[in-house]
Amino acid sequence: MTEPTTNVQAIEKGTSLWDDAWRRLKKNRLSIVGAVMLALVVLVCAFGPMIMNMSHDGENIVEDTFPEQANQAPSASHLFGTDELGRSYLARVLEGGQMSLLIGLIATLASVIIGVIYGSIAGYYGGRLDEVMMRAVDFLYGIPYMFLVILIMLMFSDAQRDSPLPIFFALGMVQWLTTARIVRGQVLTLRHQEFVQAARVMGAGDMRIIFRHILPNTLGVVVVYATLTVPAVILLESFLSFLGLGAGLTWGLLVSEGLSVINPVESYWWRLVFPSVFLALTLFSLNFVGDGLRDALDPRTRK
Amino acid sequence: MSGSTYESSPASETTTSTESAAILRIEGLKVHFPTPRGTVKAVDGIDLSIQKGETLGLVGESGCGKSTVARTVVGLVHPTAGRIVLEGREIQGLSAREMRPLREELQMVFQDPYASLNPRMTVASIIGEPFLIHRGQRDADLQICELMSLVGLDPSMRRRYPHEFSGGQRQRIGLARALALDPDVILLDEPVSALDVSVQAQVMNLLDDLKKRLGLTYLFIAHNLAVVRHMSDRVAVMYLGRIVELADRDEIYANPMHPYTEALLSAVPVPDPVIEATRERIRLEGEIPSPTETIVGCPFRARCPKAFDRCATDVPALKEHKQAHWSACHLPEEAS
Repeated sequence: MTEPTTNVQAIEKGTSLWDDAWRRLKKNRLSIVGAVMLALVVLVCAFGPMIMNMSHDGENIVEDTFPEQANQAPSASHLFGTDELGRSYLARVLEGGQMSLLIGLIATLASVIIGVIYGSIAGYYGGRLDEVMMRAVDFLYGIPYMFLVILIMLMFSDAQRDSPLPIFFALGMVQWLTTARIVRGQVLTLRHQEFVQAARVMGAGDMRIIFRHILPNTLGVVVVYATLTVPAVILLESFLSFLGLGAGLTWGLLVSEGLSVINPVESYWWRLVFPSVFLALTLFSLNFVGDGLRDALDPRTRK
Repeated sequence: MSGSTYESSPASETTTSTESAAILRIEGLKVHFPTPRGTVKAVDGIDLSIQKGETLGLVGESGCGKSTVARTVVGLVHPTAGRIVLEGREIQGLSAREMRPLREELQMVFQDPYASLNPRMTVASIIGEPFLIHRGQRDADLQICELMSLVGLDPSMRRRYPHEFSGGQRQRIGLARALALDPDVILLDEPVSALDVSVQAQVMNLLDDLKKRLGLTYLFIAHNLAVVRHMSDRVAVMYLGRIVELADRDEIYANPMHPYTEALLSAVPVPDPVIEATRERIRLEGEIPSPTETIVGCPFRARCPKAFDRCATDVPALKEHKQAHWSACHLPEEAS
C-alpha cells in the first residue's frame, strides 16, 4: 500500500484502456500495413483527380481526339488506359473510389448511429420493450438483405437514384440490424455489472449511466464492427452496381463495365483489372485494420 | 461495544418503543423473484435495526439472501413487502428521483473490486462523480485528493485507471467513492471477500478507523465469521432468506443457540494445529432446499443434526430466548 501523502500537485498520468489498445495495435504489423495502404488509397482518391486536373465525365473529350483516344491500352500518357469514350481511366478509377469510400463511410456511420441508439435502448430498458424491439430486428433479419436493399432502392425514382442518398439509406437500413444486436448484447451484460449498480447507488440517472458508464464500454466492440462493416458495405454496393442499382460511378460500376468488355474478340483488360485491384486493396486493408483493432481491444487477449 | 447495551430488537410490528434511535430499520422485508420455475424467496421476512454508530454483521452462506438485503435497502431491488426506514423516513419503493437526496446518507461498497469500478474512467472521475451528480461540481480535485488520502491512496495517482491498481487499492477507491458524500450509513457487501488475507486485514483496519473517525454506521455483510467477529458489535445469521440468530458479538460466538450457527462456528479453522486436529466439527448433511421449494416447518430441518418432530410442522419464530439473544429454533423452548 502506498503512504498517504498530501502532495496534491504531483499527478501521475495513467494509461487508459485506449492507450493500451493503441500500443497493442502498433505492434500488429499487418494492421499497420493495412492502415498505411488504406490511407494511401484514400489520399490518392481524394486528391488525385484534383491534382491531375482531370475529369471522368464527357466534358473534356476533345472532339478530334475522340476516335483515336478510345480504348487505349495503358501508356505513358494514360497510365490506366482509356475507356470507349476516350476518358482517362485513371481519373475514373479514382473518382469511383471517392464514391465507393464515401458510401462505405456514410452507410457505416448511419448503421452505427441507428444501431447503437436502438440496441442500447432495448438492452438497457429490457423487458417487454426489448422483446418487441428485438423481434422487429429478427423480422428484418429474416428477409434476405439483398432483397431488402433492392426493394428500398426501387422505392426511389430514377432521378433520385442519380444521387447517392438512396444507396446510403438502403445500405444503412440493412447494416444497422447487426450493430443493434451487438450493442444490445453488450448493454445487457454491462447493465448488471457492479460499476453500473454503483453508479445507480450514487444517484446517477439513466442518461448518465448509459452515456458515461455503459456506452464507453461498448465502444471497443462497436469500433471493430464498424471497421469491418465499411468493406462489407462497399462490397454490397458493388453487387448493386452489378445489378444496375448502384450509386453512379463507383468501383463496382467500373468492375461490372470492365467485365462486359472482356470478350474473345478484343479484351480491354485494364478496365477490369485497375478498379478490381483498388477495390481488393481497400477491402483487404480495412479487414486487416479491423482484425488488428479487434485483437487490440479484446480484453481477453490482454496480458 | 460489548453485550451490556441492548436497545434494539429485531423489529416486529409489536415492538416499537425503543426503535426510534435506530438509524436504519428493516421491518418484515420480503424480496421474492418470480421465475419460470417458481418464486424464489430470496429474502423472506426479515426484521433488523441498526443503531447509530453500530456495526451489524450479517452472515450466511452464499445464496442465503444477504446481498439481496443490501441491494434492496439501497433501492437496486424493489421489495415485495416490508418497510425500510432510514433516519425516520420510509425509503422502500421510492423512485430513483425521490431516492437521490437520500443517497447522501446511504452508500454501499461492493464485493468485487474489479467489477465495481468503471474501467474507462480515471480514479479522479470515479471518486468525483458523486460531487458531479449531487452538487453539480465539475472541479472537485481538492475533495478527491482528500478522500484518496483518507483511504490511504496517493492522490498523485488520481489520473490513473482502475486496472493499474491492486485489488486492495481498488477496494479503497470504491470506499472513497462511497465516502464522497459524507454518508451516515454504509452497507458493506462482502468488502474483503475478494481480497488476499493479508490485504483483508489492512482494509478491515481502514474500515474500523474510518468508522471511528467519521462516526459511520455499518451493515457488514460477509460469509466469513472471523471477519465479522473482528468488525461487528452485533451479529445476525441468515439462512434461506431468514434471520435464524441475532445477538451481541461475544454472546453469539460464546453461546450459539441455533444449530446452524453452531455449524458455521465449528467450520472456522483454529490457528493452533493441535486444537485444530482434535476439535470436533459439525458436518452438515443434506442439501440446501431449492429456493423455489415451499418449505413446511423449519427451513433448516433437512440439514439440522438436532431436528425433532416439531421441526417438521412448526416454523420457529425469531424469539428472544435470552436477554438480547434472539434465535429461530424450537430447541431452547424444548429444553426449558
